[in-house]
Amino acid sequence: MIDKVMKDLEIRFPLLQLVREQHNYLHVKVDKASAIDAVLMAKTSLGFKTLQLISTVDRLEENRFQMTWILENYGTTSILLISADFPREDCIVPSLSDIWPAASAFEREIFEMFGVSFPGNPREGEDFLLEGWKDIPPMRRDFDSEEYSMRVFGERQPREHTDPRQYIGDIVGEWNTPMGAKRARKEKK
Amino acid sequence: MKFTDVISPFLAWSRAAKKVDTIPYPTQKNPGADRYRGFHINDTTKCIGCGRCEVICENKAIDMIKVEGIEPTKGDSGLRPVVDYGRCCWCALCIDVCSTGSLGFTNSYSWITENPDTCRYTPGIDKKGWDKEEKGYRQDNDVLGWAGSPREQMEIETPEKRIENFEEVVKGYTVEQAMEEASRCIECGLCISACPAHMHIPDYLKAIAEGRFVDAVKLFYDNNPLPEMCGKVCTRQCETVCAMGYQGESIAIRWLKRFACEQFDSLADVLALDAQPGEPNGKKVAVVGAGPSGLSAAYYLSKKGYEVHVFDRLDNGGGVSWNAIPEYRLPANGINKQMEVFEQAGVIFNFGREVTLDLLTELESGFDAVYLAVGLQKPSDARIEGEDIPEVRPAFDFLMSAPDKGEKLTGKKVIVIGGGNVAMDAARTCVRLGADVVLSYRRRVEDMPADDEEIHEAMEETIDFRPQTIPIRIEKTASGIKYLYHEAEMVPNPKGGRPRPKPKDDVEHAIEADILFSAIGQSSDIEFIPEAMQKEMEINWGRIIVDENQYTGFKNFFAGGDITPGEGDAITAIADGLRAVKGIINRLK
Amino acid sequence: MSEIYDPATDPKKTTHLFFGPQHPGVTGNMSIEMWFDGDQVTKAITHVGYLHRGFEKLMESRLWIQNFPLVCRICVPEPDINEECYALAIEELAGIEVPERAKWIRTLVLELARFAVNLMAFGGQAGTLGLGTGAMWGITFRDFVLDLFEELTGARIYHIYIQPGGVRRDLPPGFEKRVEEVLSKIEERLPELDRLILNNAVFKLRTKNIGVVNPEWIEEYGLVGPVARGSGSVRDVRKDAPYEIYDKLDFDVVSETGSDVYARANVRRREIDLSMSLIRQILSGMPTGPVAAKLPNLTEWRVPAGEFYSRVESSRGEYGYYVVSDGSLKPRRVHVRGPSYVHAVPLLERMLVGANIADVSNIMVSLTTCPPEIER
Repeated sequence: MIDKVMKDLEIRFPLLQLVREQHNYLHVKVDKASAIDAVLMAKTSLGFKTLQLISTVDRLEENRFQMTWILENYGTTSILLISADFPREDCIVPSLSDIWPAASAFEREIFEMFGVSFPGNPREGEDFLLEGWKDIPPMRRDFDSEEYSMRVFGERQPREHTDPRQYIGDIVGEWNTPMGAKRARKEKK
Repeated sequence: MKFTDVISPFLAWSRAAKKVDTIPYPTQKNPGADRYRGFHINDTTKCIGCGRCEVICENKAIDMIKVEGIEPTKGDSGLRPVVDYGRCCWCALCIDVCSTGSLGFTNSYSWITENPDTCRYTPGIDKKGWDKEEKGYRQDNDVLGWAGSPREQMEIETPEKRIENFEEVVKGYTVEQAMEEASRCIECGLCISACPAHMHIPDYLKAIAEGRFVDAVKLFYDNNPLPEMCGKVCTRQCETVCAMGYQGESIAIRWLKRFACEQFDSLADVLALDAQPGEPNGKKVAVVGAGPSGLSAAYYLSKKGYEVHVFDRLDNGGGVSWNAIPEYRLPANGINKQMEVFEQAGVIFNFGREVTLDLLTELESGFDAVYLAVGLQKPSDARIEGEDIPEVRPAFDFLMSAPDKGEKLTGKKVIVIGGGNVAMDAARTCVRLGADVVLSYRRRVEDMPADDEEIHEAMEETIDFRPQTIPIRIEKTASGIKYLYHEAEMVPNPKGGRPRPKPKDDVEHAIEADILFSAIGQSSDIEFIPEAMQKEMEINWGRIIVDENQYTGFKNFFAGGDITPGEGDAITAIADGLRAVKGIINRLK
Repeated sequence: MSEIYDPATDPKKTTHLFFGPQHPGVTGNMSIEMWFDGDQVTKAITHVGYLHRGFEKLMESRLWIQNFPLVCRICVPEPDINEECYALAIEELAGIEVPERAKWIRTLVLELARFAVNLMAFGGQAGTLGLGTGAMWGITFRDFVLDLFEELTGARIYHIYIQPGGVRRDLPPGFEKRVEEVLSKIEERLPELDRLILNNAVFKLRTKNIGVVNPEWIEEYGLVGPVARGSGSVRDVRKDAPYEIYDKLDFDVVSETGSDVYARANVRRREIDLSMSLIRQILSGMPTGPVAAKLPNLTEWRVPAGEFYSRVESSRGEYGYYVVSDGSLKPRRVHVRGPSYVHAVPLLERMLVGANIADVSNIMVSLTTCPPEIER
């Protein structure tokens, strides 16, 4: 069953890459221009009528966002993941909120958390999880949550702490002789 | 809608007449289950302060702190964990990874305090009501194995095969095995405290785990210029304190060092610019003895810009460590690879120079400083009647004579007296030469000073171990010798320390043999030191007493290695060399 | 706010009200902004964010193993599904074989948790209608199961028991017997609960034909669990994509066709029976052997790079973890997909329009919306 899905997708999208194939589980990667086409094709002609999740992975080092649409075919109980890379700057991904009502909420969350824009989503920009958030989108890899919390909430009183390795190193350096060994020359009378 | 639907909810009222399920606290106690994850306890005598609990704690609830009454020693950082219950989530990861299993949870879960800041204590140090509680979540390393894992096994030649030749017994790790083994390190650093040279063990293990073998070799040379030798025959004090050794097997630090060195045909090329003579400072240092201690001092002094001359009576470097240790443990052909590094670093060698009174006088006037690292030359007397019979030979001289290229002992019967590494080496060499070997030792097998692996391998090689045998005398017979001994029992030592052997009865047991090797230690020979110098130095039992900089107290003379009192192994000698470098630099400033 | 006139929010005709976030009728901390005409809802907007603690962000800065004490906190009544789902993904990526006995124990834990949460949710459904006795009884029954968890894992709520490669401890001696004792005790009392809730005239009046989920919405929205199964669906990950040992157990997926709140309550009631049957099957077939596979040094554990979407069936329906590893010590991304996401946002916003104000919390609880799943 899943082989056929793969074949059908391959015919339509020759540049498609296989990420993982298992029993009733298929993960493919397409280029960004065909991403939405592939998702829609999966819905209309391959039976993947349900959208389970839209997810984003920030590949900061490669300067791209990896978008993944997770679809499910209730009839054959199979899962299809379609991934595509989008450039990180001013990332724009077409919205699917008019196809699936559930997509709207996922897209609103991604907009808040990653700053990915979904033109066509009528509720885009409406507060979802982060009311009144002023900083950069927090799920981006370059958002440092520890630094943010220090800046906004102030530093915590540091506690007493000793790093064992550092400590051993200090002692070794101080004593200059093996630990516990008594080898010092007796003082001459 | 049925009429019964109106009535049926009212039947619930029948519950009112039944026993309630609620526990009436405090009249009825409700202790936690046997495995309950309540407050921490810590057996502070078992705890070694490795800090594993602190590392695994995702909430940063655990801090390692200095506590009163626990001093750092070899293998114990002296630190103990303090737990902040404002952050602890009772996930028990700290308990399941605790390397000694000292940390545990009790089933106590109730603690009332007025001050929230006091919700933080050092288990085992700060006394709590639940310290003696038996029940609660405890480590079970048999199930999880998070606190200690078995060692990556390397290929070892079978005893049947290896007694036929002098090939190396240990085959060494493959790259995958080495990376796997090195990744077991938890980077607590306890090994650094135990290593006499304080090598950067966690750092080079990490380098090996990540496949950065060049970095690993460079880290070795930071404070040990003989890593390949140490990688094969080190006494590995680091492994005895390894935190992973408590619940599993200690990390094979020695074999990993060997592995990293064996990845390269030339260590000099790997080190390249790291092993070059320093900017000459016009000062000359003489090093007497090209053993581990002398070589270490020479290498680091030369890198600091001193002109270093090394004198040794042998024809090559490595001293006793390299020449007396048999081929199957330390192949002699490896020495050149190591010596290249010293030559690249600018050390000048004078081999074949007998150390005499004249030489020393010459050095005294011709050099700014002298480092004496001559080691021990004279085999100790066995003090057994009959030890002057020619068939009774010192094992040390036998090992130094390159026995693998010497006479065969096929069909001969050999007795070795002693329980140290020299005894094992002699016994195992004789087996390889075809002899039938008996090993006699005064105390028990577990008292033997030899390396456990050596003993184990020797036992596998058909050597007849006779522990608890006290020699009486050796008699000459027509065909060879007769070794007579008492069987011993162990009695407690009134002065404390390990138990002493005492003859069980008067029965004299005898073994007939062709040769007897005595391997009961080495003693020093300081006749080469002029008497005037000897008077200025403090000498005890033939050993030169030095201060923490290896300084002898006479002019600019330093001493180290086996000629000074110490543990008598290569790594201690190397450490002496390192300290001497510091001492010499400070003195010549 | 939109400038366009919307009769549903006409300030002259409608009342504007926030329901929650602190309200006993709301499941957890979320709020619904509503407009009423009389006592009929004309528009509803779900507001979440009160519980947002950045779990997914935090997971990216912790070691793989350190996330286990974290993921379980996404769901209070049923933490084990999170551990299971996360562990399944790691096992898939790292290629860890789970010993057979560990699989059985994991299934036992998952079913016990489902059993406990369904007892509470079933009673809780009555609680929304003011029938507090049902809610209390449900919680009492759950507490008996929590005693079992305490004995097995050392903790009552956050078990942190499932780990990659198995579970953290074997069953304590005599545990099977005590599970059976608890099952019998609850089984004996369940008819009382039935009489109180399902056969209650008030309950029937307040739940039948209320909160109807149109079967057509199932695929459109991606509905799962009791919400879908109350409308005739037979979707159940335990059957469709069996994990652990569900393919070795004999069971039929519970399904009702009423589509209303009553049908969903009934699904939960029958799930309780199903869980009891599964637990008994597991206990009778439990094999012997080790319970945990050996893991590498936990602080140096690099899970090989890869991506996997793992799924399990929670009491609220299909639960997924999309785990991405870049081969480092920490996860690159963990995306938790809880069923409440679609149930509480698009579905609830749609279902509440036209509902009576008194039924809002009733409908909401029947969807078992759980804000931590949305916010993470």
